Amino acid sequence: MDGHVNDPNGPRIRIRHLDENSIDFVLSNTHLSVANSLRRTMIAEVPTMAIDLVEFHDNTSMLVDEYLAHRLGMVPLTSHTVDEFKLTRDCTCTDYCKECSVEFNLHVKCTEEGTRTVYSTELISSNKDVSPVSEGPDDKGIILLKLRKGQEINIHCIAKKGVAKEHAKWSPCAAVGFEYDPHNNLRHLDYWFEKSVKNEWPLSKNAEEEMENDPDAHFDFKAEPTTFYFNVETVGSLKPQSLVYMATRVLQEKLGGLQLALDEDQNPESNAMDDAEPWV
Amino acid sequence: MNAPERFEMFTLPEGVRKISIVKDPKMANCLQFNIQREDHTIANILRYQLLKNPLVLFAAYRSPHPLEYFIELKVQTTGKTTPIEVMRESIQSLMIEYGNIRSAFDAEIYRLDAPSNEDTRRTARAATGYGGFGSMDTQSASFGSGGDMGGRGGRTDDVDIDF
Repeated sequence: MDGHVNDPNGPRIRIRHLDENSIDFVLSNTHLSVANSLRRTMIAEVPTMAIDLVEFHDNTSMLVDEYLAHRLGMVPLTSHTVDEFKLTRDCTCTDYCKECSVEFNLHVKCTEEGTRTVYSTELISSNKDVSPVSEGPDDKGIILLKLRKGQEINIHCIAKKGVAKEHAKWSPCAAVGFEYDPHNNLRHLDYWFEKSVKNEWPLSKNAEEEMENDPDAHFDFKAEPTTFYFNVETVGSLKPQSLVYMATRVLQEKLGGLQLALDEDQNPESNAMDDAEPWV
Repeated sequence: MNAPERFEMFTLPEGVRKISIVKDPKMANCLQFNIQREDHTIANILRYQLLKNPLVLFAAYRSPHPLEYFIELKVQTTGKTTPIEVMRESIQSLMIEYGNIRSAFDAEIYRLDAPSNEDTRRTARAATGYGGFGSMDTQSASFGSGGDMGGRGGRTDDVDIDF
């Protein structure tokens, strides 16, 4: 697809704030469904890495195996190289390999008096690009568990690529703030009130970006929302700009897949499923 | 006990077509597309894009059951074109739309890195960097940044989509 110039009437983006973990931007000149699908994709369909299998060699801690395994799964792993990995179900290996997974080891025994707190940064990764998220050398990460004298854990974890549709641990987003029409000019919302809508419902920060319509003016019933205020906060596994970038790409790939599927069968008659169950 | 596996939401089993098409017996030029393993994310944008097309008389979708992972998208066109054709056009337009969003986004990120943005630069500088997504070359279209992007050629071209 060569040389398509960005349409000046096309979608526009203005980034209001960008830092390590969040991005606040305004997407305008596009439709609500497009913006919403982008939001849904950011939350649920952008792949990341997360621990999916835990082999327990030793666990004499206070936490049951499955409880600890659940906690390990929820640990965010740096996923900027996630594109280099295949999905395990698509990989040609048996079980798992370096191309579809990353291995982690953790072996801690508490030998002293007092509590030995085990942190997520103590997980030893087999791939330096995929490791527990940490904000810096001083950040020990998430507390995994606490051990008493004599307790020990010895585990081997396998992290795989996945999407949040399968399990929320794979979601790169902490939260996605999404707003449009801060002044309710389109009357999509019918606010409940005791005495006065204006006094009881405070305006959001985005209200400064738009004008409120003249209440006496004729209501434009054909107006549609075109400006959307996003505030995406990431978990640390992906950079916020990478997240938005990958979301658009995931959507394009999905659409591309549909295009291919459409071209596969041209003849509607041969395709008729009148008697067959649609759900397989 | 009856709950389907979560991976069923997006993995297409062997032998199952992604899109199956059923002709409506009563309406002319009307097809129903049953798209397997998709949800509102795709269905809603397709429906909207179809409705933008003046040759489309009817376009609607539904997800018959939240635990059965497919959608039904019904499209009726005038005699001047076919539902399959407008579907193709809609998918194409949407791919371009998201491509434009990405380009606009790239341009903004690039602009934030520009020397004139000293205040945002300190926080942005540490945060920018796509880490393996290819070049940062952007379109030289201006998106409200007032022309200080002139002269940079090239375009983001990281997506390999086989048509």
